[in-house]
Amino acid sequence: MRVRTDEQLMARYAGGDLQAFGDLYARYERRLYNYLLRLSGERHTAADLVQDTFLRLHRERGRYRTGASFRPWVYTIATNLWRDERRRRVTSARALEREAPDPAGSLPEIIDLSGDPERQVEAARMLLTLRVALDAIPQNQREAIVLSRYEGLTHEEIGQVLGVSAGAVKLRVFRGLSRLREKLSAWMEE
Amino acid sequence: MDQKPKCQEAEKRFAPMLSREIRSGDERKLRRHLAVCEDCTRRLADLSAAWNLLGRWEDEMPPASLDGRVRGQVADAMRVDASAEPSGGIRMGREVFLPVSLGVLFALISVAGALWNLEKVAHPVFSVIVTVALWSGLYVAAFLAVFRRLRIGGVDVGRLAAVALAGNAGALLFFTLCPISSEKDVCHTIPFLEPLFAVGGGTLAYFILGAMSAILPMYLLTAIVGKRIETAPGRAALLMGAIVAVLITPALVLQKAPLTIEGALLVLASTVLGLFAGSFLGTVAGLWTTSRVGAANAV
Repeated sequence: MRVRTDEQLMARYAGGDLQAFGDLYARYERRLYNYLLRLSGERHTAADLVQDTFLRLHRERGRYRTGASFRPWVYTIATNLWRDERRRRVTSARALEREAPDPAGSLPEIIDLSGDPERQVEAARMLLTLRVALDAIPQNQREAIVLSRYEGLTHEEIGQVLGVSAGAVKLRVFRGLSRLREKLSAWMEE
Repeated sequence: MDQKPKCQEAEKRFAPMLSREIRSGDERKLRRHLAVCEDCTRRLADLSAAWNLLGRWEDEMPPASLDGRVRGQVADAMRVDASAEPSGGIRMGREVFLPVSLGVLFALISVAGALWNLEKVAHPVFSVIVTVALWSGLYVAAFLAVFRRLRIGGVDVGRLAAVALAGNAGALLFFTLCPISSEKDVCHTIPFLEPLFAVGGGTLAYFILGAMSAILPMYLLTAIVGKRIETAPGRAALLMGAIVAVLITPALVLQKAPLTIEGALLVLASTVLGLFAGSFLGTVAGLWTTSRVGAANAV
């Protein structure tokens, strides 16, 4: 069977093909979920934002520019939704308490606690350290690093997502990594 | 020698190096610098260690309920959209409205021009049939392609066809002003056109007119609707050249019945090449404008 590109699927979806949406969803659900999880640090927030992303994608499908790369476009939607959510939290007194997520309360379920307990605890500590370290760097550097390190977007694509030049992305990644390096120094020396 | 400027240059290459996007030339420069700079070597090693450490945060599966939630929500939204669209789902945005309007406008000009020239052609009945059949068919096909969002290889055929037709109609307007059968009589009365017609028996003039008539609509449309006709200006221009060559030019030439075969071939070749070159330049110029304006994917 012929494999369609994201752009071809999006064009078909914009024309009303619900199957094309299903294919796009299957390709991007996990990616977007993990992207938003690494930005928000919360599973339920990531899931809600994935849902919002696809709904926004549906509403904006008429604005999708034929031939334009789909990947930066969909990450732009997800990133903007995350920023809106973050803004809401900052302005909401109740949400202020959630600004610093309780890492212990959201241990990744991926850790298989049935295995070697020492290794699992070590893995959990590692994840918490990474999450806290990423939380501690400026938002724009964090977005650039997550898009580059985990999502595999090129600097050019990240620039499209974040609305900056590729050069600015490189600088953000460099500065963000330098800060992360300080935060993670204890682990790196082990 | 002061290494600081070189270290700053090297720093700019750290991120592309880590994500493996670095170009080979830049990588060679970076490696040359690292060979003589311990400080940068150490810093890159530190950043690389942090980069690798980040890789230990592995992907996890989304909650199983998410799939059903999203698909259900979007299916509902599609149903609502379908019931809210009275005209079978066709959305008349400016992206559709603009090329169609341009097409209709130029179609009217073209057909009016052809009819105006009717008395000068050798086979009027034949010309009328050809003109009406070909232009009607072309415009109906173009509008259908627009409404149905027909695409070939990611290129929006409908809009391109509409623009090609609009460009060609512009060319027809020029030809109406300067009919081929009487170019020596009419066009030589227009001072700025005379030198053009003196070169190559008018071939160059038709090339330039073809190019000019394609540049403006292509530029405007590409600049206005942005990157909808993007990815490959060359591919877009190629497709448009093919549309012109296969569909439009025969109509153009058949309309001008009192031509010799040699003259018709010259006009055909120069017009096709001119429209092709014009559409390419117009697309590139439009894309350049769009990229300067930026925000191509803003949501």
